[in-house]
Amino acid sequence: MPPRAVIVSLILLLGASRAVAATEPSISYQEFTLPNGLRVFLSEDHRAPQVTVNVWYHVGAANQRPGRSGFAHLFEHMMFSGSQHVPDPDKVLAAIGAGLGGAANGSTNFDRTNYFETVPASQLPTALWIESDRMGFLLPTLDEKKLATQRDVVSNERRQRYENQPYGRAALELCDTLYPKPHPYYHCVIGSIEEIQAASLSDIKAFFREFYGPRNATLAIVGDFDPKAARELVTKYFGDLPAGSEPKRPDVPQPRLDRVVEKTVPDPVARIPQLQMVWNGVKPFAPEEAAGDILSVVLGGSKTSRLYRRVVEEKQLASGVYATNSSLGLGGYFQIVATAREGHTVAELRKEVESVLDELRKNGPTAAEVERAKRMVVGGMVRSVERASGKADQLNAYAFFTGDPGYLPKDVARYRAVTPAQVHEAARTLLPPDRLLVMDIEPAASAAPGARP
Amino acid sequence: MSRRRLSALGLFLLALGCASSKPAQPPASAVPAPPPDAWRNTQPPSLAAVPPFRAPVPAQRSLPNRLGVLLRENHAVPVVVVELAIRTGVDGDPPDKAGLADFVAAVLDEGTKSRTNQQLAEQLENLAANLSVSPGLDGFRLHLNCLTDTLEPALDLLADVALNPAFRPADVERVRGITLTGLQQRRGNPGALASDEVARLLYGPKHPWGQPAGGTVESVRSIRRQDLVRFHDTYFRPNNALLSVSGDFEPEKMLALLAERFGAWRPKAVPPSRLPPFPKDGPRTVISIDMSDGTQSQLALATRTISATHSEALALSTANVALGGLFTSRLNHQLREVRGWTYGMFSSVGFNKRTGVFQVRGSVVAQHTVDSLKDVEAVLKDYATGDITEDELQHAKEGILQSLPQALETNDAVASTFVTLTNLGRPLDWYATLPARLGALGRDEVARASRAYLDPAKLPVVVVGPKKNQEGLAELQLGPVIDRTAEAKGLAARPAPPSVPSAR
Repeated sequence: MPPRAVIVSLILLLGASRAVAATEPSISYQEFTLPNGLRVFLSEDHRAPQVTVNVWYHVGAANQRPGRSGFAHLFEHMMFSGSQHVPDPDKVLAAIGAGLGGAANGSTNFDRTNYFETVPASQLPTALWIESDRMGFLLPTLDEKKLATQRDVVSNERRQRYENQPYGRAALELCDTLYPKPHPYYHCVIGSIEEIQAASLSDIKAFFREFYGPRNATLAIVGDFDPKAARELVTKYFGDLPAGSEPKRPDVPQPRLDRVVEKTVPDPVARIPQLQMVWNGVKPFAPEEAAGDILSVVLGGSKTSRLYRRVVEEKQLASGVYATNSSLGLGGYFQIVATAREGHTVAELRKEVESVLDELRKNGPTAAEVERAKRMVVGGMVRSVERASGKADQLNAYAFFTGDPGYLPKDVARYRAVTPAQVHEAARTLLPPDRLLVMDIEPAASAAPGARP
Repeated sequence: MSRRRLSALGLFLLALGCASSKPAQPPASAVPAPPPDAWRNTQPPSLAAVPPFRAPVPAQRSLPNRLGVLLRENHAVPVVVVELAIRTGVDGDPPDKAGLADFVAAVLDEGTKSRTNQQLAEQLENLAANLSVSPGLDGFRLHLNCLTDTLEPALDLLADVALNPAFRPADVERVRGITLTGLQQRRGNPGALASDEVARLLYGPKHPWGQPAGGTVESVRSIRRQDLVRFHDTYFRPNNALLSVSGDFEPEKMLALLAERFGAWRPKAVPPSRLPPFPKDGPRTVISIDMSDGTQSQLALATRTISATHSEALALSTANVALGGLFTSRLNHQLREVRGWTYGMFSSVGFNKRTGVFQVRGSVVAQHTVDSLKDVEAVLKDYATGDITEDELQHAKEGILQSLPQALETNDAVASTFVTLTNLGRPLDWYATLPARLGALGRDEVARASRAYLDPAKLPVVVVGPKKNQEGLAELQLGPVIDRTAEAKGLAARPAPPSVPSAR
């Protein structure tokens, strides 16, 4: 039996910042690369007799062709439809106990797609068998019927998560305005139903050949395993797969807003108006990203944030407000979302939000505000290594965005280094008053109280 | 971010044992020589089994004022979670004050006698500590997650919020406005509307649990500051509370820290709860709510079952997993993978202090509303004959056992799980002993539970979606179709609001 060791190394940074002694998280791991280009990260964690296997493919909505919105995500669904030697991966996963809850799943975002399962430690070979088979042998058993079903399932996913959720339609409008056709982020990751339904079997095959080889993927294994045995298994299951291409990362210029774009979005599911203000944002790990994140916390990340205090507490115009800085591979966005209180309007909210922004652009944040925001962000990073599955995803994420899977301590340092002056600068440069999207999301007429059903 | 499936369903916990999946059969072929990758055809053998997962069991202690304390050490990350549970929740709402417990929860962390809401928030944030207050049907949870280094000042704040809330009138009124906005918002949300209808069907219109979540516009307007103060004074007592702690601490030191902060909390007899009886099972009905612009219909079928301590509770939970708990379970397989009409159709078995609830839930494309309901009904009817297969049973058991380590991985989850077990009257080693009990569970017992509790014949149905797609609903002959659109969306005539809206 391997020694029970706590993998997370905790370094007490004595006197790092005032009253709070901070603890710095990291993830220990070893790395190797197969001759076909597959990068592999192994991290032992013997707290439970399980292993998490997590594969990242460097493909997302960013790689879609015009007219094929939603395609990367639809493709993700096909990866569960069976491969040449594993006709029903879901059934195999259910048999080894990974059928419930979040044990096995996949997800697609703008820039990457991942697949993961947490299985009993003794079943590591089966998890690798499933992942290697769909990496190498997806196409032979793919057919039109499987695709037709998943086109419908994904269409229903869009209905459930966007069309029938309050403010879901605004999320789609945001993508369409910030990333107009033919940008691959158009219609967000989920895509339009027409374009999802138009995806053909030959599209799927071409996409697989271009993006789903070992050279365009990384594999992380975290859990209760012997690294030598794991390495042998990985070599056996993935070593003979052809390398495939190493597609160029998409390089589409970020469309820039050049004025204030105002839109009214009718929403039949929402009953309360909402204001969204959205600016062009940055790429992951861009120099100004960390300051932008701290800015989002200072503005709308907590109860003491400037927007919360102004619109929820002092003026009592809003029932809630938040700000986020979303970094995306082809350029992200910074977003402020304020939901009205009953009886109040988007116009009232906008006036107050603009006043808060003006003040922050002019005078910057206080040192205490920035310090508080930094502690909250770093506190979240300390907690992020509590789950084995979270560590596996982080290893792959850091590898993808920085090249260094063990980047976590440097990431912590990046946030610790943010100064009030940088946040002030971010407020001026990231949130220009004359180049943004302003959405007024209004309950559609039929949703208003008193309307005829 | 878009995921293939919503990460489903609640806590469910299992271990390993013999995974009984059949290896894929090599394709029949006339050619004798196997292709070079023929070894891939067979599911690989397991590695040697490692010692099974041992679910955490807390040490049980108490403070001199009878406040129970559960302690579980875990030094994996420098985090401590302290959950203070109050063992009365929505069940403490008086008949005319629906939403009172939710209101108390929403104002509780908005300031204490010595700290304004902004001072409190600022101090928590400076410690990078998270504090949340959640009301439930049968209790409150004040959940603190803090870093080891800031444990003591964070505990000060938790105790202050629990023991000395100020309920300042300005904070009460601000929260009231936000609550009313939330109630308004729920009336447009198909999932929320379905949940409120299900609650009314399960517990009855006169029961506190049968009220719309958060109360009604009228009741929330009528709640006064004095109601909040009285609720807190009545139920927030050490003899009606429990502290559950998991994380990076030393037990004797933790007990001393808790005694310093909670030791002077004075016990007081808590009035026995006087809840009305649950409604008797009436004839089956179909509740219909029109959402004319919707592109989907939200479906829900639900009924009360048995309590968590019933001898058949584990058999029932296991039966549910095979029916609708796994991705490969019958409901999701039929409605999603065969039909393509939904992103997911799942069922759940949950328990509260007094009963259990079985529920089937999912959203389906509007044009197949009636077809979907027909399929759900057929799947349920088949399953309620008790025809669960050995494979299904095995997958359900494995799913439950293997989900345990992940479900109990974080300190947040562990501290909360101890509270849940206590609320349900289950022993604290429930999960530690689960593998043995589950292993002993036979197919007969699971089949019997399916027949007894999962029969759709009396299961009320809720449909929230476009009326135009509900043609043929009556022809399914599930029961009379009752249109509750006006009531659910707040369009029906209601009594005039009280003339004095609230204490200012």
